Amino acid sequence: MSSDQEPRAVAQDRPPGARPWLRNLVLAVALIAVAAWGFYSAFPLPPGEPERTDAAKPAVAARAPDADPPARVPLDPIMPETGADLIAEVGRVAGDLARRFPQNPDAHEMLARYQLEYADIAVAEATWQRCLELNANYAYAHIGLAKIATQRGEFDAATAHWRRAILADPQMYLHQIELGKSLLAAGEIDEAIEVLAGAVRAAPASARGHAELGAAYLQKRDDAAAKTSFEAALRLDPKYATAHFGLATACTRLGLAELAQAHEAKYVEYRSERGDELRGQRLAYDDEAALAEDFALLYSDIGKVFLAEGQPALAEQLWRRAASMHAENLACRQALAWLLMQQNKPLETIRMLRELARLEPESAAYPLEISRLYRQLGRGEDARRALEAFADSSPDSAAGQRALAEFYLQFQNAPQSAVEHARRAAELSESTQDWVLLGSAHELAGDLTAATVALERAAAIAPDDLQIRQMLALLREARATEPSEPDKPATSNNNSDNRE
Amino acid sequence: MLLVVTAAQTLAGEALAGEETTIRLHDVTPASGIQFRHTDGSSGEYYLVEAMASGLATFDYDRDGDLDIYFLNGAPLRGTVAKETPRNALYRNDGGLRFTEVTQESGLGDPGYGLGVAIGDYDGDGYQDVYLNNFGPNALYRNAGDGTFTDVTAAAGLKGSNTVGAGASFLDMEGDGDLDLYVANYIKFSYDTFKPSVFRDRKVYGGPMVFPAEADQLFRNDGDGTFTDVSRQAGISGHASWGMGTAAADFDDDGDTDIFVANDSDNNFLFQNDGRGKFKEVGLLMGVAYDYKGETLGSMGVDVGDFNNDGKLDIFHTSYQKQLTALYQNMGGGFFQDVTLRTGAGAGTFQRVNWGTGLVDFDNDGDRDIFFANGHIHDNLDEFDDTTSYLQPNQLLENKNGRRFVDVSQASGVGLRAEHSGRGACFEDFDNDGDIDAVVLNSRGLPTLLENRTQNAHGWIEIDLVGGKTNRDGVGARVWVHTKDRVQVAEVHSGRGYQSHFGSRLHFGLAEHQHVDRIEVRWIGGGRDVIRDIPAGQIITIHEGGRLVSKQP
Repeated sequence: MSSDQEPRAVAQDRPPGARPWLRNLVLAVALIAVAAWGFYSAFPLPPGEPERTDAAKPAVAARAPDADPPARVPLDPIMPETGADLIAEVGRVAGDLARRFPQNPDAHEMLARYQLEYADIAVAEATWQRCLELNANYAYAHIGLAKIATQRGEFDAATAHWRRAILADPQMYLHQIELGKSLLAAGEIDEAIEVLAGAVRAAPASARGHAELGAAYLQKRDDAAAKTSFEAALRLDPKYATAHFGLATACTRLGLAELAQAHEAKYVEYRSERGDELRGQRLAYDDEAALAEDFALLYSDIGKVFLAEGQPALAEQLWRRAASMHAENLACRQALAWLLMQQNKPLETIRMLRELARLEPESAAYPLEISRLYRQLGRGEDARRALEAFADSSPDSAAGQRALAEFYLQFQNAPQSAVEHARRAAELSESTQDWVLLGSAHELAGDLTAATVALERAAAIAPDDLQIRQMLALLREARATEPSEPDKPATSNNNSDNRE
Repeated sequence: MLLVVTAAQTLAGEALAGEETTIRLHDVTPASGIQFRHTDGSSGEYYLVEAMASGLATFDYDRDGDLDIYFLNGAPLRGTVAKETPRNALYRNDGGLRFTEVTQESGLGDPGYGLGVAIGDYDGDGYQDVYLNNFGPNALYRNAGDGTFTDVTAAAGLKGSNTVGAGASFLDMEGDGDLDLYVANYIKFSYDTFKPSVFRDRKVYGGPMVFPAEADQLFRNDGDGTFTDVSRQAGISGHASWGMGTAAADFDDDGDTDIFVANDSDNNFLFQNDGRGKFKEVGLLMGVAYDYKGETLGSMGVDVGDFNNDGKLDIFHTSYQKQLTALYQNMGGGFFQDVTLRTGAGAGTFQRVNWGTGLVDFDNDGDRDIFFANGHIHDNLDEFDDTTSYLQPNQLLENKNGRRFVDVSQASGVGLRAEHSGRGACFEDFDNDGDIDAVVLNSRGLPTLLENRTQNAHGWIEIDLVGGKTNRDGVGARVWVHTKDRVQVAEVHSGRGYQSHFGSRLHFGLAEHQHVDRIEVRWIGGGRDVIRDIPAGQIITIHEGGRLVSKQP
């Protein structure tokens, strides 16, 4: 039986009254699952880098392969053995990319990243300027130029570039924080406060934003405001050492001696922990491993440029080199998994996904996708095992429990098992989505009372959700027409009623 | 490079392009007779110690009234073969900014690996002695008073110090009239366990973090020519870190001498003296351990002075690349605030590594400017970081009425445009013309002697102190100079800047004043002398008890 047939088989057995809202539910859950992984829609960017904005996207859209493109990127035939050789290889690859696609700012951006770290900063600067000639709003070029200016201590220039980067993406609070820091370093304290306050508004859950704002308030000698900001940072991250330091300073100036001492003690404790950690990192520093890590990331991104330019084979060469270069690089493996899937190689895709799952064992995305691929292959038992294994290793993952519930519900016609996992998911996440799922499972198991209770929980969390209210109304209607007690199906699970 | 420097000056919001100053510093090294060439003893193995060398000292070793220069030198490290044994070098000041090397006849040609130096008359015989804080055995040289020095390390009980040294400072920690000795240490190092650091497939100097920190030491002067290690009893030895420059001063204005230690990549120490030679580390409490955000800095050199003429001694220390230097304003009671951003005292420092420093008044306008020597540690820097360079120009920040500092390096003469890898720096009036000159020890190169050729009509006065009941050099004594519109304060310090010594003779710029209303001296222990109505433009000596000796330049 093909996996495509499984949902239909389940659907045929559904109670008629459940269909309208269950169809919606399945669709919603499927969309959420896809979004949770997200590797279909956008390849990950380097850590700490913002998502690309429209303005920063490649000037040249993905296109068909050239008629006669060079067959290979200029990789060494075998993996370079020394750091110097590796640096040279990456330089060749990045230069080759920019020469192949001279009108693509992404290609120049890759080259500039290499030049900044491993070649000549002035050349990197010129390369990013070239990006801006191709697209004046190319955010990555502004970010690169801002970093160069900062390293040179040219804070006014850095400020100008951070402003342009923010224009390209006003919601990117990390840029706002960098702009605020540049302004502060340039002595523009009032404007720094304004910008950092904006960053806090954009990302109120960022402890760093609050702490940077607090530091700016301290420079302004607005100690009360500084105290408020540092306290906000510590609510989000109680072990944030420099926030304790700032708060101790603010409290000292405000005459709150005891509070100041308490935060100073915390600062010393956490600072010491961080110091030990840093020393450990320095002692463990392995230059070759660090180079491999950096270059695997760069090759992953260069591969994406090749892909966007319609050269998947060249992209694959780079991703495979990146994967062999650095055993823990996620980006290249995610890209390879995607490519393998596009090439209709499900078993190879599964192998790559298993590598990813090993690297990110806490992520539900990979076992979910593995399970989906097995289902497509008609290997339902393997699909189930993939999900069960994840649920066993991560029993507190709501996503894992949810996936299993959906699986039992949609493909195994086992609503009782679905109820068990959906309940666990709902308990873990306390989310509307999971209470709805539990309601669905109960309904499929024939327990309309328990289904109603679950949906009521969902409605309590999202009282304005019209769809849930509709579902609830339908369920209540169905319960009103339900057979009397002796006629209820034997499969119902009344014991669950009060738990929800 | 000029363009880079000009752009870098935009720090702190100053519109600095074309910033003007009257200060003029000219490189007069070639004509000075100084031919000392520093060696760091490097062998290509990138031992961290070689990047840290060396400091220097300025003092009047022969008591002829002008200030002489003593350069520290490195020594061959394992794997290095030297044709001649590198030695420290003493240059006698012959006046007119001419110097003659007198290393051999003086006996000060120590062959050890010189890192830090402190000057002090430890035996109270009227002649300043020399303590060397080396990598390897440290050394104490006694000044015999006849132009020669004798190694008295063993006799003084100081032979046990055999570490990777850093700064050192003499101070009278318990007010008993003789000079005790604080010795900062850097890292625990062994050739046998050393593993070179590699960055991007190149050998580089690993930071101090890859080595265990070495605790500092405090030696009590027993008054009989010997010293006793009291590090543990005095509360010093429990605070090991990667020590660099030191400065001993009365930070909390309670009449005794405290100790500041600039630590590399770690919190700075401020050892608060209880007046009896027991110390409590209060750096964090007093606000000088970290920068304004609570971050550690690669603190290097340190100087102490009252930058805003509020009567309290402030602290300035230099730092590593991608950090700003730090200026801590003394708020009273020993509490400090980092005012670097508000005052612009970090101008143009972010992309450089700064070392020797001095808070000194170059234009005699009555406020203290900041000079610092620059230079990176990595001689192969251009292979992996071209945001900066191994050789860097030194910098001068002019103090604008105690409120703002402005980077005037490019406008203050060609003397600040040359690029070296500077380390220790000293600031003295070498030609006794009333303004402060500078000398910088450059790693692996000739030093730089900068003559101050600032033209203005500002008054000045310079003061030598001679202790009687207290230590002979007046170390720790505080001096207030009153003119019509301001009071300036300074202290005699031993061991300051980057592992260096300078400033035993106090210098005060008097701006438009040609007359000092009153000079008040508070000697260690609290004794006070007051002298009134002194004409400006002279070097005076004040003896404890109030006797004044004038010397016209």
